[in-house]
Amino acid sequence: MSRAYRHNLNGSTLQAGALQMEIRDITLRFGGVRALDGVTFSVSQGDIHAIIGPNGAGKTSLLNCISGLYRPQVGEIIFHSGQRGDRNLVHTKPGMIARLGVARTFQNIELFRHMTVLENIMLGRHTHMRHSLLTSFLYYGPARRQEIRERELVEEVIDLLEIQAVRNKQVGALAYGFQKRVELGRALAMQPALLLLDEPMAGMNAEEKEDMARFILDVNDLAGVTTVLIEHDMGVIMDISDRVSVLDFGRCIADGSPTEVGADQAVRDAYLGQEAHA
Amino acid sequence: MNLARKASADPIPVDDATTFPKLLAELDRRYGDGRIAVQEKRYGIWQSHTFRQLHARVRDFAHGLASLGVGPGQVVAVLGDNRPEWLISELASQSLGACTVGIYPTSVGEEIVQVLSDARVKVVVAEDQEQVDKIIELKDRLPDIETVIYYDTRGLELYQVPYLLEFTAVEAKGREWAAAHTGWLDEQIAAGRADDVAVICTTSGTTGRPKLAMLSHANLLCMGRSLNEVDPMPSGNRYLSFLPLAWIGEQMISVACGLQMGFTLSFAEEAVTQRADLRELGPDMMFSPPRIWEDMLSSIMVRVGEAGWLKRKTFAWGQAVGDRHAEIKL
Repeated sequence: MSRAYRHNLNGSTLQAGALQMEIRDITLRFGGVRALDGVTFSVSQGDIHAIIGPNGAGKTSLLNCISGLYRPQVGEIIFHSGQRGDRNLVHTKPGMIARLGVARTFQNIELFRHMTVLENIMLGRHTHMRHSLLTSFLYYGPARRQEIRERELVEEVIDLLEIQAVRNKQVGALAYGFQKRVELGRALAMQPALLLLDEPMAGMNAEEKEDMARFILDVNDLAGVTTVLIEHDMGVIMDISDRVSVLDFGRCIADGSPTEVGADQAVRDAYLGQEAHA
Repeated sequence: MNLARKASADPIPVDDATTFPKLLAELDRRYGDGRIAVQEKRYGIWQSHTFRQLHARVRDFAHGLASLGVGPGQVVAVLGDNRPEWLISELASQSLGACTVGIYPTSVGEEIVQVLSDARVKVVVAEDQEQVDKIIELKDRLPDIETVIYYDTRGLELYQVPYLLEFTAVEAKGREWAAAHTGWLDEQIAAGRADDVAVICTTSGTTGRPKLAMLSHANLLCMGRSLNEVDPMPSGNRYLSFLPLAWIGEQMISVACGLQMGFTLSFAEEAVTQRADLRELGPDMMFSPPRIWEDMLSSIMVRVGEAGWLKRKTFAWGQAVGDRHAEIKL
């Protein structure tokens, strides 16, 4: 009776280091405003890939393009999913993108506030559930067995994120840090191939940030899930990410390892410098 | 008092050859798979071991420890929260004529070094990454340590430390070892005497460094029996064990009383879920120092104070009934 987790949270079949996503020349316009302007970079399997940049640089817009909420006018986002082939996410519906294994969290927590933590995370299993409305409604036979099977994985996620104590609490009543963890839990329950985290540590105190960084590293180290995250805390970025892309006014001005990017003069001027003056 | 209940409160008879591993074998004979020996809440549900399953795991682990060179007179240290593996480690060590010393999971640095070096510990059973990291960090100061066994694997998968072993791997090794040594363990268990050291507990350390106190099977069994005479604890009682097993008080109830009467021990999911687990379980008995009762009372009274009048009236009525019942019983 080993205590090791039975379920693999990584939905990707690619080898670590293989090319997983190529963002090619993405341009997104809202009327006359260019939110993204010819952004190009790629993400490798198993990396923690940080996207940084000043406010309004287009970071969240880029994440929205990947998850299918926005459709860029120019460019393509090629997602390599191993056995299931390559796919351009730009012309794919959000629901299908989720089925391909792209999971995400939002900057301003998007959870069902009146549902419990458990129910919210179970929702992450939705794309993996197969039974019809009627059998599910009656909670009978295969639907019941399926629910129990999926719950096992969800319980491992709850264990990983250490939220056992609030399992049956309404999400709306929880502290902000816990809500962020629940949102990460829901994304993880999808067994994602690619995890998109939009400011997972915004508004947290140092201790909560440390916990969250630990969870992100655990998910990445142990399960090997590729993680693309937007974050403003440079200390965290430099500590945990394998690769950093820097956006400024919709353009990708640098892309490389944290040390390379930290030493880049354009980045210092655009971002770090600004912050230092603030 | 209900006579049937009193009759079932009779503990397993003991003599000067009784040890805890022998009591476990007797409980296995009596209840087998028919009664839960120990359960812990994990992944949201109570995961249980029957007396037969617990006995089998204890035997496997004992064989595993023997294959690692643990023998009579040695001390195996356990560092972690209350989990079935804690109990298994303890009973397996005792099966070999060795004993265990518990280290509080909150201990750090010097405290750990002192206990491990004073007891000349060679094998440590540590719960998880947090506890294993502590030992790895102190390893230079603990040249006697040969093996560290862990059971919560999370985060430890990628460790390349030669003296680390997973609990289940030791059990598997034990099964192999047992196949080549049929009947060996039964002889070891039969050779055990009540005067053998069963556990080592640390003193509170209020007036200096904590000292190691050696407690024999006879000592613990006698305590349990005396306690049962004053306040009978029927067989099959549900008991929530949430104070550290490294503490003599918890050893007394969970192990000394538990194995004499045949309790069902329950371990909480996490320290933070204790209250919820307690409520869910509805245990027949609890054991705590006054501080815990005071804390529980104050949190209940605060909530009652904030409740509506109907709830307050109902609570007052229930409390009066409870008080009267307790007085009649006493």
